[in-house]
Amino acid sequence: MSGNLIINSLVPPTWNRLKVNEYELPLPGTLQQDTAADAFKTAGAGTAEGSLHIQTGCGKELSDALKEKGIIPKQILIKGPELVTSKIDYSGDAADVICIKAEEGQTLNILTDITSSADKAAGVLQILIEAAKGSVVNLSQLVRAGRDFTFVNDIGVVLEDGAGFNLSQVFAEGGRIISGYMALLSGEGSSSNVHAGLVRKASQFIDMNYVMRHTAPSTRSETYVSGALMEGGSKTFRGTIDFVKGCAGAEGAENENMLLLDDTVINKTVPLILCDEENVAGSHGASIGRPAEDMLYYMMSRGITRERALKILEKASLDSAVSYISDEKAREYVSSAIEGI
Amino acid sequence: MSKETLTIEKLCVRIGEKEILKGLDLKVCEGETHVIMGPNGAGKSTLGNTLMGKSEYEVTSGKITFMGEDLLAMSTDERARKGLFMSFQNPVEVPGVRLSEFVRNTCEAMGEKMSLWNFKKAAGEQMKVLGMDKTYLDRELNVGFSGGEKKKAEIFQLLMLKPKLAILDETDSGLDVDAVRTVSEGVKAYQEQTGGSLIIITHSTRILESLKVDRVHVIADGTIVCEGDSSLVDEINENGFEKYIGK
Repeated sequence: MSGNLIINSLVPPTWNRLKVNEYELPLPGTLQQDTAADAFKTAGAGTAEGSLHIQTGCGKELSDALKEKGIIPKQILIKGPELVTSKIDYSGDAADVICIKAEEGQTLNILTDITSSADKAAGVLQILIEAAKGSVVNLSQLVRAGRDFTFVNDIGVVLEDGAGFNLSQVFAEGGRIISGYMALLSGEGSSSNVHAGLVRKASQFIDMNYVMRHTAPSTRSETYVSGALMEGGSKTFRGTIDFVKGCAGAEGAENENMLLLDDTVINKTVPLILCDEENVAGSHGASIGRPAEDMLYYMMSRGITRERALKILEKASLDSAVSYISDEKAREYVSSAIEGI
Repeated sequence: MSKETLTIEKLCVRIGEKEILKGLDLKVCEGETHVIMGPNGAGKSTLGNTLMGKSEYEVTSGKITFMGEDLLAMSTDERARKGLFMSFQNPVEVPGVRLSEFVRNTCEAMGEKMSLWNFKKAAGEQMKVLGMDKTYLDRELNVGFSGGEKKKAEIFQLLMLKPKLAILDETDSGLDVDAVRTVSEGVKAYQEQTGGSLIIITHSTRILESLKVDRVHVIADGTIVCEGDSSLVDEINENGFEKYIGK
């Protein structure tokens, strides 16, 4: 055993030979903290000490390791719907646990922009969110870290009655990205909507573990991943919809649209629907492969070269997630940030 | 005498082992509007796709000259940049790519780099011709568009790109009377704005009502079997294609 952390674990596991059951993370020995908390403070949010006990997509081993390393959770205090843009730049190995509470009926709009000014470093950002009755939390994430940077993005959300969580993620740059998300839909009529867009090239990879746990009646979850892989880029996506007994009338859907732009890429998808309740609806759909020749022909018939057409489709993988960002300022911010990528 | 825009000589085309076009000749001069009619399977759409350079269509013999150059030596995108356009019968959906972004890219490919402001202004003017709401610009290209919306989006691109020769492949098919009228207005605007040439491939004649037609060609079994002026349209409307089949 290497002593690495086992994170993003698939529950239940499948054959080991498929190498999708989990991700092994070598966590650095020393980690600075407050990189993210300070960025939120700079963005105008208040901070205080305070933790939330919420399960995340990366899992317990990561949470325990952060505790052992003395990372103190910070509560971020956001008053209203005005967008809070947290620009988090990692200048070395760092980790933060950020806790956010949305009060009853409150709407929060949050944007995290992840960059790295250090090469060969790692950043861990764990975001724990508690959404009270009727609240809505819109979290948008832009990741454009360096090619040698490892970024661990770990989210856990608990949703009370009628609460909604909308997550838009744009994984544009960053050598190694490990992304976990778990939504506990424990309030009747609560909902989770995830739209993730990714481009992986030049041997970059992303390992994703997204779990929607429906425990209350009439809950809804939607997970949509669009991406483009090329030049040795790789992606593993585990998407689990877990219908727990008592969630009658719940609906969960997963959809994936991946473009494989050459023969050097690796794409792994593990859709999983667990069902312990009768009256539920779960679905998974995937469109994975090379761009259709008819689509390229259509684009070329308008004067666009084949190479340019592929670039447009590559960017469209990110744009798709951008289009779901509900806050206009956040949408414009992310859209202009990826313009040249 | 007008300049020749397109000259097709003894064109033979096959898909796989099946020969579709069998020695087709056609000449289109600057500013002219030609109508291609014919029964199903005659080779009308094959002609459009061959001109545009779709890879499945293999030219086994013949010659195509466009704007004085060998069209067959060009790739599809080169043909478009040279001034050839085709409005597709079934335009494909391009998820994630907004109509505005796509058309801006096509304008750039044609060498016309516009600021966002100028693009939106130009797009707004052309959309007005087609009675299109500006919100179309933010929609993903052809995704979830109705048949009529798709065809309008095609004509919108025609108006923005201003090609020298436009092929309209059954642009009026599946449209209601009002939509045909709108599309027809768009095509008329293209003629007026650019003086460009048109090849209109059609089954019906409603799209032709407001257009001045120079020549009508009837294709049957891969070759042109009859040609005439616009009165030929009325004759076909009355008697159908039966007398041309097996001619």
